[in-house]
Amino acid sequence: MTVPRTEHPASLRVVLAEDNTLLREGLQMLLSRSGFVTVAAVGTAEELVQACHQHDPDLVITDVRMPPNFRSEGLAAASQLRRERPDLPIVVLSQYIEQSYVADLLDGADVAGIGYLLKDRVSDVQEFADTLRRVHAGGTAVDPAVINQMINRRRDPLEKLTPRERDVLVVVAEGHSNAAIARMLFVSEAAVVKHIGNIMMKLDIPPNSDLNRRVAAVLAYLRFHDRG
Amino acid sequence: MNSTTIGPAVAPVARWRAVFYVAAIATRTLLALAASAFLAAPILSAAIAQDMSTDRVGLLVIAGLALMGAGLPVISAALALTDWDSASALKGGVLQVRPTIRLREPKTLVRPLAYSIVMLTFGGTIAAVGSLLAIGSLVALFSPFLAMTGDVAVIGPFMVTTLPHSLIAASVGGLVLFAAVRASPYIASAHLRLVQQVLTQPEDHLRHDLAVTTRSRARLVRSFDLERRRIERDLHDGVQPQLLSVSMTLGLALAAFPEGTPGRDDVVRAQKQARRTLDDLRRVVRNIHPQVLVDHGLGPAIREIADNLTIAVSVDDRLDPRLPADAESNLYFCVSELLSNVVKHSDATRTDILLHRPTPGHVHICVRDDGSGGAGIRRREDGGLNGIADRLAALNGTLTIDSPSGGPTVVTIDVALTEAGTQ
Repeated sequence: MTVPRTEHPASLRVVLAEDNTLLREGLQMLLSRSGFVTVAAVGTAEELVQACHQHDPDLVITDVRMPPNFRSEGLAAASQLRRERPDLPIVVLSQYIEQSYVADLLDGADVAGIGYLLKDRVSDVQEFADTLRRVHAGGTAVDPAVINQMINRRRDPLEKLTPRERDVLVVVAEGHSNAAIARMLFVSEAAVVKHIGNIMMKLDIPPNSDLNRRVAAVLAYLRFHDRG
Repeated sequence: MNSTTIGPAVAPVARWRAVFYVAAIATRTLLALAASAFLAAPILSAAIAQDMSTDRVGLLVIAGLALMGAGLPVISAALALTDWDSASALKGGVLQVRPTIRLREPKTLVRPLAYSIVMLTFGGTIAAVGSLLAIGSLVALFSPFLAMTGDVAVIGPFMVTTLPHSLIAASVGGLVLFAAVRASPYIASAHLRLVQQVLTQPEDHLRHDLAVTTRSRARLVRSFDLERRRIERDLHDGVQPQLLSVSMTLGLALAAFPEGTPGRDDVVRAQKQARRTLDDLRRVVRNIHPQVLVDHGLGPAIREIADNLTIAVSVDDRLDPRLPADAESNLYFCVSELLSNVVKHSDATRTDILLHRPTPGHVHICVRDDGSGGAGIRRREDGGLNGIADRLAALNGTLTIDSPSGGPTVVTIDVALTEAGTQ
């Protein structure tokens, strides 16, 4: 195990993989303005793996579709990196919401420190930077659009959730803490805990106080149903 | 020369090849004639015989008929096929569909028999006369040598003994041979036409044309899908990143603007507009060609459509291993169209989709909804169902619609993964 990462978030070292030059430079600028240090910005999945070996970054941000075949090379590279270093936080940016990609990303890996976001999210600079830090801290951030899609899909267990519980599920999946959720939804922390308890019960997931395992359970549910 | 030929070009036949070709045909025809005469020998001998009992005549005739019945088809088939092959070789292999002749199928014997009748009668006469002329001419050419050595050249009814006569005979023979060589290409072409005309079965041509058309239809659909992918890629690699970059720059600007600064609201609005445009663009791109189809195959791609619909859709995907890319694209657009029909017209609350392969080379897709039925009744020429049927036709697949009024509707797609689908 490496030395616990206690650096100030402002000094997080990031490896960035994005094949589109315009976006890569934009993201680099955005990262530097938000207090991240981009140690490598690359354009292919292969370079991504090399850069990670070389720089041992605190966080990896990667596109899904990359050269040479423009399929899901970025995801494959992310999976490989996670196998080599299971605690490496990775945020995957995608042009599309595709549940099967989320499933791929989460398949067989410890889901702590994983993010899957629509590329559009980067336009909200502050929120994006916060999400990166949450993922770095071991949180799991799945784009609200994915969870919304999952809820909109008429699945029996999810139909049991009240609208309020669905709201909570969405923000839980985004990786927020109970206190943050309470602030965002204008309810007490106790109410949040109660909602989460109900969600877990209705989805047949044993209640658990640990944040990551709570999100993991939600995502495991998502993954299970995507495959089933 | 500036002439354009439409249709099969009639290439001139090379002279010396034509000479050998004609000689070979004449030889074959004479051989076939001799063989036929041999078959007819019992009958001929019965006819010629002076004092023979009626029993023996009857027996001979029956034996002759039996011999001819068994032998003539064989001779015709052999003659027809060898002539076809040599004609095809003369044309450089252009005659495409070799006739299939089976002695047990009388239908396939009609054309060879007709061809043999022409060749044994008309062709046989020409061959016999032509051969005699050619041999006579050759002898005539040599007659001066024979005359000089005091020998006699017999050319048909003529006896050539003197040198002047032999010189005349030699020049006539030379002229005849020269004319024969000059005429050979025309005789060869005439024979080629006869072979094509008599031995080509029209349905073979139709079958050949149909195969060509099927392949070209599959190619068309494939090029259409390739074009879709190209457009999707252009949008994904060009337009989307630029728009996203605009949105990102606006985000950076906003981060630098303190709340309440004049003009901040405009930037916020601009950013919202950019995001909405990105959303719309994403939907458009997905409809053009979904990336997930390329990455994960038909089942997951259909699941993604299902996720974006307002009705409940269950997808039972048993397609493993993945299908050929062409089949995946075609079937994806078919199912996509079927689902949008369900949403638009059926008032269904749920749809079940089953994708499976009953055998490795066969795909079966069943889309069932609990809607009001009646699909296909108001089918229009330019409607979605026809679009599906067209795509499936290019795949050699079939579309079956079972949609009684009042529902439920079951649409099944069956595709055999043949050459057209896997190329």
